[in-house]
Amino acid sequence: MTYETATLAHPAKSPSPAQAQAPASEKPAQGDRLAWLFRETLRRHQVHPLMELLRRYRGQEGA
Amino acid sequence: MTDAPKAMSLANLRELPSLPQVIIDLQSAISREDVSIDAIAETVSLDQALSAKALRVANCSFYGVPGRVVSIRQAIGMLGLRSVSTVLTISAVSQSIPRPSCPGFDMERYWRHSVAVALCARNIARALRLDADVAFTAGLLHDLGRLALASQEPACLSESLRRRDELDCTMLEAERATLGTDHTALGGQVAERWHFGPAVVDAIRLHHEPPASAQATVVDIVHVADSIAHALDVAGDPNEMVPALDPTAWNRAGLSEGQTLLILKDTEAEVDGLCEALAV
Repeated sequence: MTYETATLAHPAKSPSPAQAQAPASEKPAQGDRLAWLFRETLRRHQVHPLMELLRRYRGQEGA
Repeated sequence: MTDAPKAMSLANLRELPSLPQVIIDLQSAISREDVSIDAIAETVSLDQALSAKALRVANCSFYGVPGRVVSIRQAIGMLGLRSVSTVLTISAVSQSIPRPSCPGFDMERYWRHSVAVALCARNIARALRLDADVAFTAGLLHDLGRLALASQEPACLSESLRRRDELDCTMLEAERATLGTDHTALGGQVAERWHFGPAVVDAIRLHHEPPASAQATVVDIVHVADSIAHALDVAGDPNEMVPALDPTAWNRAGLSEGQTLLILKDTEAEVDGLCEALAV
C-alpha cells in the first residue's frame, strides 16, 4: 500500500475552510472528529494514507 | 507569546539524574550479547524499587503470564532477557525523571501516547520481521525530550503549549518558534547521555524527519507509529492533531491494508492494560 505526495484537486471529504481553520478551543462534533484530527493535512489539500483507513476501521467498530 | 526564538539553556536538562547503573550495564551487555543472566538478576534484585516495579509490569496480562513471575531471575527465564530489559528500562525511566509540574502538560496523556507508539512500533516491527524490542523501547521513549522539558524547563514547555493552542500549529513548530530547538534534539541528547543504543537515539532524534534509507528502519517505524497513535486519538487530547506522514518512510514500511488495520486494532486493544501495569 503506497502513496504519492498527491494533492487533492477536489478534496471531497475535506471539512469546509471554516471548519478546518476553527480555533483549537472549538470542539468539533463527534462525527467530525476524524476530519479534526487530520486538519493539518486537509488544510494543505493533501492526502494522508491513514485517514481513509481510520474511517474504515471506525466504521467496522460501529458495525 | 515570544516573538524571537530564545537560546535554549540545557543546563537544567543536564541535571536530570542518570539512569541506574544496572540499566546502563544491561543495555551495553545486550548489545554485546555476552551477558550473564545470573549477574544481571542479582544486581537488579538489589534495587528493591526497580525490581518491584519490574515484577509488577512483568505480571500484567500484556506479557501473557499474569501473576506467575515472582523474581527477576524467573522473569528473565519466562519472558527472555530482552523483554525484561525493556521492562526494567521503562521502570527506570519513569523513576528517573522527577514528576513535572508544568502548566498545560498532562503527564497521563503523555504516557498514554508513548505507550501507544511503543505498542504500535512493536506491532509494525513484527509485521516487518525487524527487532520488536528495540522498536518498542524507541517508541516508548520517542518524546523523551518533551518529558525532560516538562520536568526541567516547565516554563519553556508551557510557552510552547500555549503557542500551539493559540495558533493551532504542530507542537514541533511551536517548540522551534519558542525554544529555538525542539523535543527531538533535546531527547536525543538525554538518550545519548543515558547510553541508549544508536537505533533508539536515532529514532528519538529523527522520528519527525526520517532520513532517506534503502530499507525500513526503526526511525521509519516510530515515525509511522507516532502518526497511527495520534490518529487513534488514544491520549484524549481535545487539540490532538495527526502529524504529516513522510511518504517515503511509509512506502519503505510497505504495510498492506490488512496489516495496517490489524495493527490499529491490536494497538488500541493493548494500551489500557500496559498503562495500568506501568501505573502511568
